[in-house]
Amino acid sequence: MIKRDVLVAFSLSLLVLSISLIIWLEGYIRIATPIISSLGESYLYYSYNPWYSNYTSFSLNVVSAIIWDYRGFDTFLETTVLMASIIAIYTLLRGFEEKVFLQPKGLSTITKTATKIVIPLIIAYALAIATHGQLTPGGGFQGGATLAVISSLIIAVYSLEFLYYMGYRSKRLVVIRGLCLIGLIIVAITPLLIGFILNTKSYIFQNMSKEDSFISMPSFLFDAPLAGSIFFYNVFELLIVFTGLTTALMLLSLRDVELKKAFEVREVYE
Amino acid sequence: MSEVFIQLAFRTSIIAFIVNIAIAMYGVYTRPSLIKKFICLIMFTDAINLFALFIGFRVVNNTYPKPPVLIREPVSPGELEEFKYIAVDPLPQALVLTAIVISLAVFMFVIGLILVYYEHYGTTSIKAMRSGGVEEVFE
Amino acid sequence: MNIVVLPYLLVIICSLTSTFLAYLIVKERNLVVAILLLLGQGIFHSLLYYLLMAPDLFITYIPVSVGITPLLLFLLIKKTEWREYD
Repeated sequence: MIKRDVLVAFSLSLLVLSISLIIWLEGYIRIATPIISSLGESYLYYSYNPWYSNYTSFSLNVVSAIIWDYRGFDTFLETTVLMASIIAIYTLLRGFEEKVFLQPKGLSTITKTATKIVIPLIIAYALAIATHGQLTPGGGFQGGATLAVISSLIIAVYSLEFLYYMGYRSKRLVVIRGLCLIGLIIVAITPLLIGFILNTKSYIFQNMSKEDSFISMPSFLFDAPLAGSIFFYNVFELLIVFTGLTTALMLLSLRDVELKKAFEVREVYE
Repeated sequence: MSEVFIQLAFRTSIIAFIVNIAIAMYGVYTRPSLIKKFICLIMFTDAINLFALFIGFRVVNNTYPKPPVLIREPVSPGELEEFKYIAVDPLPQALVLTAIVISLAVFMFVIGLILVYYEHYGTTSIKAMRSGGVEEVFE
Repeated sequence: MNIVVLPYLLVIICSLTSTFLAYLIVKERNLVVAILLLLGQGIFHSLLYYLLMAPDLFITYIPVSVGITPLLLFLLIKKTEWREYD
C-alpha cells in the first residue's frame, strides 16, 4: 500500500461527497419517500393477520413468510442451485481421494482452547435463529451460514484432519443434503397428499387454508406461532446450507497428496 | 432539518455505490490476476445488493422506520395498520437474501475453476496464460 | 418533533469508507492484504444492512462476508500464489 494510493482513495471519497452535495442542493433524486410498493404493503398487512385466515401465514417475520410461503417455489429452486454448484465442484475435482491418517498441523494451544470455548456458543446461536425464523429475524439460510462458520474455524485452527476424525466425509455430507432436499419436497407435497385422500382441492407449497381448500399445516404449537410449514422448511434449509458449505470448504482445502490423482485423471482425459 | 439531512445521507450512499461499481468494473477489466478479478466481482455483487435495498427504504414523518418484523404476538387491528404504515418494504430484502445465497454458490464454483486453471497453466495471471507459460513473462 | 441524525451520519460514513476501501482493494498488489481489506469492507456493508432496517440480511451477511468468503479466498491463495504480477 503506497501513500499515493491512500491519497487517491481519500480524494475519491471526497469526490463522492461533493457530487452528492451538488445533487442535494439541486434537489435531484428523491429517496426514502413515505410510499412503498403496494405489493410490499399487502405482504406487511397479511403476513400475521388472524382476521383474514385465507391470506395469512401466521409468521411474525415478514421476510421469512415471503421466502417460504408466498414465494416458496422460488426459494426451493435457489436451494437446488446451491446443490448444483456443489456437484459442479465435484465434477471439476473428480478422482480425488480422502486420506485420513495424515499428520495434522494445527495452531497453538491458546487458539485451540479459545475456539473450544466459542464453538458451543455459535451452535446455540445458529440453532436459535434457525428454529425461531418465524418469530424473530432469522431463518434457515442464516442459521446454516452461521453453523458453517464452525467448520471453517475448525479447518483454520485444527486443520482438515480433525474434521475427518469427527466423522465428516464429503460423500456422507452429500447424502445428508440429498435426504434433506427430499424432506423439503415431502413437506411441500403433504397438503396435496392429504387433499388426495380426503378428495378435496389442494395445492403444492400450500401453507394455510385457501378460499377453495380447507387444508392447513399446524399454525400454532401450544401458544407460540409455528407458521405451518415455514418451521419445517427452516430446519431442512439449515441442514442443507450447513452441509453444502461444509462440503465446499472441505473440497477446496484438500491436500496436494489427495488431489494428485484428480489432476492425473484429467490429463488422461485430455 | 431532519428531512434535508435524510436526503443528503441517501444521495451520498447512492453515489458512493455507483463509484464502487465503477471501481469494481475497472478492476475486472484491467487487473491481470484472476484472483483479483474475482475479488472485484465480489465487490460488484455487494454494491448491487445494497442498491436493491434502497428501493424499499422509506421515512414516514421524520421518524426512523421499523424492520419488517412484528414484535408482540397478540396483535390488535390498530397495531397492524400502524405496522403497515411505518415498516420498510420486505420484498427487496427477500430477493436480496436469495441473491446472496446464489452468489455464494457461484463463488464456490468460480474458486474451483481458478484452481483448475492454476493447475493447468502454472499461473493465475491472464497475460502469462496468453503468452503460453510463466517463464517468458517473468524472466 | 424529535430529530434523528446519528443513523444518517453513520450511513454517510459507512458508504464513504466503502468507496475508500474499494479503491485500495483494487490497487493492492499483496492479495492477503487485499482480502483483509475486503473483510473490513464487509463489516461496513453489514452495518449498512442494519441501518437500512434489514435484520435478516444483517444476520446472513456477517458469517458470509467475515467467515466463509475470506476463508475460501485464503484457501485459494494458499494453493495458488499470493502476489499479483503486472
